[in-house]
Amino acid sequence: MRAPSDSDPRLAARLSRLLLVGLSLAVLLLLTGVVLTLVKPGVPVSVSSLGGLPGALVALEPGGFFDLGLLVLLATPAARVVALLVAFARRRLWLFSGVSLIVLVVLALSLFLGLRGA
Amino acid sequence: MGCDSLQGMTQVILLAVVGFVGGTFGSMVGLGGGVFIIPVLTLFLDVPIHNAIAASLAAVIATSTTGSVTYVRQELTNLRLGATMETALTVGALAGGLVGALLGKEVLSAVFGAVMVAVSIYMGLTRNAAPNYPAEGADLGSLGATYFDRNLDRDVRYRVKRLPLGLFTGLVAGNVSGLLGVGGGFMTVPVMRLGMGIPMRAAVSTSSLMLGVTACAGAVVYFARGMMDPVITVPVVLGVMTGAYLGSRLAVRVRSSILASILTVVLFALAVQMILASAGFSLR
Repeated sequence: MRAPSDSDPRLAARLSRLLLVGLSLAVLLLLTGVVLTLVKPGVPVSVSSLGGLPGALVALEPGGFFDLGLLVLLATPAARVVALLVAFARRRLWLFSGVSLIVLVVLALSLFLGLRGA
Repeated sequence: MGCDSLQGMTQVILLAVVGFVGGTFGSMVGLGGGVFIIPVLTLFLDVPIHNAIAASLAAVIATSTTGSVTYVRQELTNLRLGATMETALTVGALAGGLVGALLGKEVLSAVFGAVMVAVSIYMGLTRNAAPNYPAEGADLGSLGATYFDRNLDRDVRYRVKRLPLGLFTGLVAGNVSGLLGVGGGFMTVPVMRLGMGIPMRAAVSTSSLMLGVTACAGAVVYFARGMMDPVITVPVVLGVMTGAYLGSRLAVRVRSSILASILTVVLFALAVQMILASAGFSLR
């Protein structure tokens, strides 16, 4: 049996593209924040809470773009795991689909416990 | 431009340079870059440890993602093996985060430092040794794979051996990642290469993919708790992305024995740092 990266160049290309899109979006947002910092000196470069993010983006505050850019960067590996889970499931590779699901559950659990301060 | 703003600009440029160096070498040898970034930020740029760890975790994700864009497209990454080992890495990272307060970092540093000295010496001695690849047509198992090696100008086929060893290493590496904010590639790459029979190039690219997920959970927690300071994290991340892009391009053109040599030196330096830290000579 051969591995999917070996036998399925389309899957490899799709995953690579997904990572590139996430990365490019994050870079675009972070660079927008850098430009806004130079254009608007003295404006806060971080948002106090996630709830304040939409307002900061609408007001073109650098902090809004920095935080959203970092969030997109952080979400990209998780999105890749979801894409791989779906790809394995479509190929009826249930064992590998299952291990990808376990990774997602552990990520969610980790986030939940971390946010609770456990 | 005032003195303060000039100092601030210099600091931002230095942070980006640190990220660039960490990203370049990290992606070349399958590390996240955190092992370079955290000591430099805390020792030389006076960044508080929690902010340094948060920036490092974001940098690990950036290195992993940037490198993997190239590695995955070139089909060097073993996706099945990566998915399998990620289960152990993420469970280890979760455990590391939860029980971190119960474990002495000095003890961990001493143990891992000693193990890494042994691994780096062994890697140094065997860096030119050619792995025993299966014959053409032989069964590669459910985790084995084939990739094209540009340097060798031929396909390289390999079986994955001793998966339990890899899973155990993943648990430990994930634990260290959760505790210290590094990626864990400094443990997974040597074990994948030496213990599991995976060629250096495939070990580096598969490890690179796994590190992003390992760092993800911890990074989100730091972000949500407001410890990911954009003034520190953004220059580091942008520097890391640039360096990791360069590193992943260089890695596929450099001989595997050279990659192994770089990793040997990096591991030895890190091992010395960890042993010194355990003896009270903290470099942080």
